[in-house]
Amino acid sequence: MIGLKSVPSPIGGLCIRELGGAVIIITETGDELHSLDETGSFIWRNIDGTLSAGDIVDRLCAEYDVERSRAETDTLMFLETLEDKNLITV
Amino acid sequence: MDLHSQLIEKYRALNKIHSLMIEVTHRCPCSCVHCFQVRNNENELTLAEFSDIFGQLRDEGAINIGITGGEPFARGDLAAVIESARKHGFFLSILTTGLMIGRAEADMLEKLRVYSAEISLLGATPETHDTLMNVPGAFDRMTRAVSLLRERRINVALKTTVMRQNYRELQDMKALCARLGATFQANLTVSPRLDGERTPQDFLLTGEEIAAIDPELINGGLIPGEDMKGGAVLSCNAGKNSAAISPQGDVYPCILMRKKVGSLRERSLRDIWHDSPAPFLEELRTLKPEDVADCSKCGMRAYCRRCPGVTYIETGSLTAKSPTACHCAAGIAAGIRGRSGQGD
Repeated sequence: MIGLKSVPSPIGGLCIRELGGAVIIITETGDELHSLDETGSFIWRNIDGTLSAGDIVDRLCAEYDVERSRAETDTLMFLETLEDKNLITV
Repeated sequence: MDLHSQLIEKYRALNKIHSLMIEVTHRCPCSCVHCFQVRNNENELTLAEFSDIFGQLRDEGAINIGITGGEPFARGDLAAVIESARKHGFFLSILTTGLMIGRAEADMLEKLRVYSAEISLLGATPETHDTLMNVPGAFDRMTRAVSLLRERRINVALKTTVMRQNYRELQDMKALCARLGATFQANLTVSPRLDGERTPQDFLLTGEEIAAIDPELINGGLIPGEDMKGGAVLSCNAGKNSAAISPQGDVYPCILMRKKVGSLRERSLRDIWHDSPAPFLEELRTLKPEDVADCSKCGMRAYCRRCPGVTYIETGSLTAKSPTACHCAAGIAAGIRGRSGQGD
């Protein structure tokens, strides 16, 4: 269960690229390709192994006009999705 | 359209490099009779320079890199070059003669997760392969390399340039590939040398010889309406989402389209490709299929594998007919007509 104190890191071996403002993630085997939307790309860029989920929510709120409770819910859900897809470790 | 295809289209629309070939060296132990390369063995990029270039390519968004030569393994530091590329997450393939791949080299490619190897196959017998490559023992070393790579689950494609000396062995080459667990690709086009010198084309098949080949054996099958779909390539990805880099850091739109558009020793990739692109790049990016007027309405188009790079070597033009492609298409068409009972 990911919480606000969790510190996510990208797993090794991913091919991560930026294209037209969006983050593209390709798994090491090349079998899966993920194209993130604007908010997902913003969150991904802040997943660096040092920032906690709460830190990322802080940055999200500073960047976008969004209620903190909504930002927390969406960020945690997104991180769980990334973990389920084996793109991050926490 | 799947996500990968959409991604490639987006790269093309943005003129962002998705895939490229990097010649890490022109040194090669072979003297293949049909080789198109014009060797420049001077002043090759160093490992440090490659590392910097890989970083620029990552920032560009590039995903696939083909490591080629010459023979890439002629570089003593090839493992370090590949490792440097892998650190940036590229998907790597290697194009090689297979002559210098032993157990240690295969282990290295596996460890560094090189996705695939493309290896030259010039005949189904040692006599033909070794003669065309001008290296005694080349066939045995190549087949051993394929086995070593397949044992490590590295994808292998054996690629044949079809020539007068080997076209009768195509069926056996295909069977050899099946035995070795490799895919088979045969290409009729024998390119002139990159400097325009045409000696390699002495080995191009005659129209009658092309017509005698089972179309299924060449270019993965040349049945109109199936894999040929749109027919001849009139405007390709070169200079848009694909590129090539020489051992000296010169940038080209494609490995065959030898019009230098910048040097990575003098300018950044971003400057060369985006901020101040050479007029030739601009020309490529605005070229439309209908600009290739003689080809766009040609009745042979369904049988044609025109390559804009080869056309440029042959004619110095991006919009001309390719004499080689026309020659091959006529032979293929005659063969298909003959097989379907429409021959005269």
